[in-house]
Amino acid sequence: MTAQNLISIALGLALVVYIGYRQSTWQNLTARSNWLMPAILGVVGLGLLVKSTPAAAFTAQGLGLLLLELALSLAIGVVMGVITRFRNVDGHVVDRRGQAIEWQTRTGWVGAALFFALIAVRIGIDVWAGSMGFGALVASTGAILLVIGANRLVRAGVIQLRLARHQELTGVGAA
Amino acid sequence: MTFSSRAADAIARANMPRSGGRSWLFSVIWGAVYALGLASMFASTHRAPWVWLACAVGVIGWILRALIPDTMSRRQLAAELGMIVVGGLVAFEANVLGGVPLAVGLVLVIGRLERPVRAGVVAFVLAVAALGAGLLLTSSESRDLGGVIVGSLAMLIISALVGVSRRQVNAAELRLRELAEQRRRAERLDDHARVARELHDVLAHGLGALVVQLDAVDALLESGRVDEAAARVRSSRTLAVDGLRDARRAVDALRSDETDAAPVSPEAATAALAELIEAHRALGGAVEARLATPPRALPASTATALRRILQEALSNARKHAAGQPVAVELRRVPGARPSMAAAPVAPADHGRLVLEVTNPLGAAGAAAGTGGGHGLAGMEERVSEIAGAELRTGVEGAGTRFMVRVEVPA
Repeated sequence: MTAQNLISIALGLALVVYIGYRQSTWQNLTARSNWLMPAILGVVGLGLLVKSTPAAAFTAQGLGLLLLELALSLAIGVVMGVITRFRNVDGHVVDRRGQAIEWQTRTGWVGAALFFALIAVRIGIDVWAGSMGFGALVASTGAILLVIGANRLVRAGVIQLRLARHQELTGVGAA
Repeated sequence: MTFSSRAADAIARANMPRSGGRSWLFSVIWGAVYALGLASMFASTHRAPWVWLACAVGVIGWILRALIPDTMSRRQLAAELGMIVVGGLVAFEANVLGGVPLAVGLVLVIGRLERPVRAGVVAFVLAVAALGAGLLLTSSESRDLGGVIVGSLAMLIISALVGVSRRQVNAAELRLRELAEQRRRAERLDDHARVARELHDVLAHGLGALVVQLDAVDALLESGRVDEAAARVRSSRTLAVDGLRDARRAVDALRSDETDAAPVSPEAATAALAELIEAHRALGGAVEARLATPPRALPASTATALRRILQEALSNARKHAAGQPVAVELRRVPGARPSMAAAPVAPADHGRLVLEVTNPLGAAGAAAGTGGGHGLAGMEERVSEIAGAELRTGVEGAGTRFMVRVEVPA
């Protein structure tokens, strides 16, 4: 249990630092980079949830909390997608794979703050649910990854939607 | 707004799915099934009073939503979001059945194009949160919730997917309607262009010639040459009669679709051109004409195009190069021009017909100011409607003469 908690904390911290850094700097936008991270987080999270979370953790209250966390995570993901800024670099930037980049995105400090708020609420719920005796599910690594993955997934979807609408309005080439 | 566009609008309206009609029936039938299911559930098992209350609120929300007209879009949305929240809260406690309002609300918000995408996103997030809160509210000690949880989550995902697919179907229908409307508009514009062309060719030509004649009559009368003036008046009358006949012919052509008209015999086609040349001569113009007979009957549209183009060219010559001799030549050339060598040649290649009208550039005539510049555009439109036809107009021979040359399949 303590080992799993340690892994959770280490993973969570690493993710927080990494994603916080990415929020506040301009990032190359490719279909791959936009969807890869949420896909990996979602799949690994679901896999861990199914495989290594004890069946006893799946109580009604535990699942209810997880759904509430997911809803919060989705909502924050939508907001992050909406406040994301775009800049057109018009193929002047080339990423490590040699692909010319059309757009870069930056969610900014507000986005990073929202993300930290999500993490804080999550930890708060973990602690509260743990004290109430049904926190095993929301504290599991799989659930953490799933919640963060859902956040990134919705953000990616909103970004894609905004870009598609922009291209529809202006007729600018695809990213 | 013209009658035809009003009719098109009425057709477009009739094709629109009448909101209220089918969705009302849907609500009534499924609402009844839902109420029956709820009643049988409450009859067989004991549930807390708040569950009863929430189910009742869900049904009332559904009924209200069905009664709100489409003009009150915001109230509809509020009712749908309310159904989602109540349905989510009670889904687990009322054996998934309580969650039906959530599914209906979600499909309505996501599936209708009237709602922006973000409304659908908000509705989905709200549904997840409501289901989560519902799970926290359940009293799990007494029974096994596994099946209910799986069923409720499946309902959430399926209704979201149904909503998305309905939205796509609606979007496709909307695009089809817009395309049909665009096509109707294009057809109307085509018709207008055709009428404008016929009007120009008949009226501008006939009235332009009359203006020249009447100017001449005026000048003759001023100088006291009454007999000559009378002769001019008589030829003016002939012109007016010709113009009237042309106008009738154009009206007939507009009434019947020209593509269905019978082909014109070679002799008739040449005679129609000769008639125009005679009319030009009667107006005092000098014409040197060499008219070959086409090898076979011409399609009505081709014959009309040749006649109208010659008419316009002669009319232009009178206006812009008064007193200059005009050369008119209709000749046959062998088929398969070099430029067409690569393209599939028209079936049964009988060669091509070339009509050339040339006149030296001269001083503008009395009627030079009477044109609107529609003649050359009309020629181009006519030629563009004949497959394989080509038109060239412009100044040739080192800027000494004006030429109109049209080449059509014979």
